[in-house]
Amino acid sequence: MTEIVLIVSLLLNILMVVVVSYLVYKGDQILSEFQPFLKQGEQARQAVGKKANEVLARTIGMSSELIKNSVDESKRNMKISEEFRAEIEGKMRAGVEQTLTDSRKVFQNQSKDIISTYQTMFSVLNREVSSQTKKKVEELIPDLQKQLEQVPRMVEEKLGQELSRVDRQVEAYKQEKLKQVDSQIYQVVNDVARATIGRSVDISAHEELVMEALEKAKKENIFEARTA
Amino acid sequence: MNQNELFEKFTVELKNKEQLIILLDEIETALQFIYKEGGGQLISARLEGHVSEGFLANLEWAEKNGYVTSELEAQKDFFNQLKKFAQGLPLCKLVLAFSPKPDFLSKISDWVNKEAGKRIILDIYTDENILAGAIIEFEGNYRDLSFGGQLSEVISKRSLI
Repeated sequence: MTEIVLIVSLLLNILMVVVVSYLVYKGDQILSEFQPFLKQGEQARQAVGKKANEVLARTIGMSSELIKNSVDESKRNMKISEEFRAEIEGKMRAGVEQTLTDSRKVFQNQSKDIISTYQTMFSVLNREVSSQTKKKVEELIPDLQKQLEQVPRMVEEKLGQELSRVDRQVEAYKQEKLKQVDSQIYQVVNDVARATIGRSVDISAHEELVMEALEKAKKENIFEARTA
Repeated sequence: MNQNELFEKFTVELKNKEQLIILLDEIETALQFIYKEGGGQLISARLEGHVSEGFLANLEWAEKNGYVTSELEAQKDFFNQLKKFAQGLPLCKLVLAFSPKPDFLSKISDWVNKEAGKRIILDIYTDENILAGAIIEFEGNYRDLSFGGQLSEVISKRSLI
């Protein structure tokens, strides 16, 4: 706003200067055209010059006055603009604060409503769930009782199976150990026997024992398949 | 004399598996000589020095009596048949605690042949761990009649724990 007023004032001043310049120019032109009447015109010119000076002085005065008035007006307008801006800002700030206050109130009210609604819903749901849970539990109690009655028997069976499994493992371990001990004993006895019997038996006794073995095999019909 | 009786003549002295292997080697040698240089003649003459005297004597006897001729295919057929006969002789596996001398080996062989009623080739193994006696295996039958076996049996029957 202030800038527009300044620009208009400047434009008026410029226009005024142009008009005055034009008038001066036009006066000189008229004087030159009316040379013959120069003398008469001299007086007129002097009068006109005087008049022009007066006009000019008055014009300058008026222009100064206009400029002064324009500047004053601009200053006044600027002041008005500042005040207006401050007023607008104040109003906007107040509006925003009012809006915030209102929004906060609305939000608080809506939150309160929502919480209230959910509390109601949860209360209803809670009652419903409690009711269903109770019903479900009542339905399950007989089955649970049956299952609980079966627990001792299941435990007994499981223990029996476990004991049986452990017994089998112990038995297998025992048999394995027996085999190992037997093998060790056999090895010792065998070593002793080889060191004693093997060396102490002479060839003829060995041959006799072989023939006895063959006779025994014959009695056990080991050669029967061959004759068949 | 039929063919089996002729082949019995070649194998009558066989007591154990080692002797059987030697006979089979001699038969292979004879088969290799059939088509070598000089083929068409009696093969016994060409085998001299390459096989045992016993094998050679039996072969000469067979040639003399017309069982083996100079015809190459007939010679080949004869030796193949003899090989088949020898490979078909039954084996009796014996595990002994000692290495038998030849006379005892003959004694066992004669006894087994007599009791079996036909020629048996002994397959002898030596294992001192059996202590004494013998382990006998014949045509799928197995008997552990050794002292070692009896000892193991006694130990296995005892409840030591």
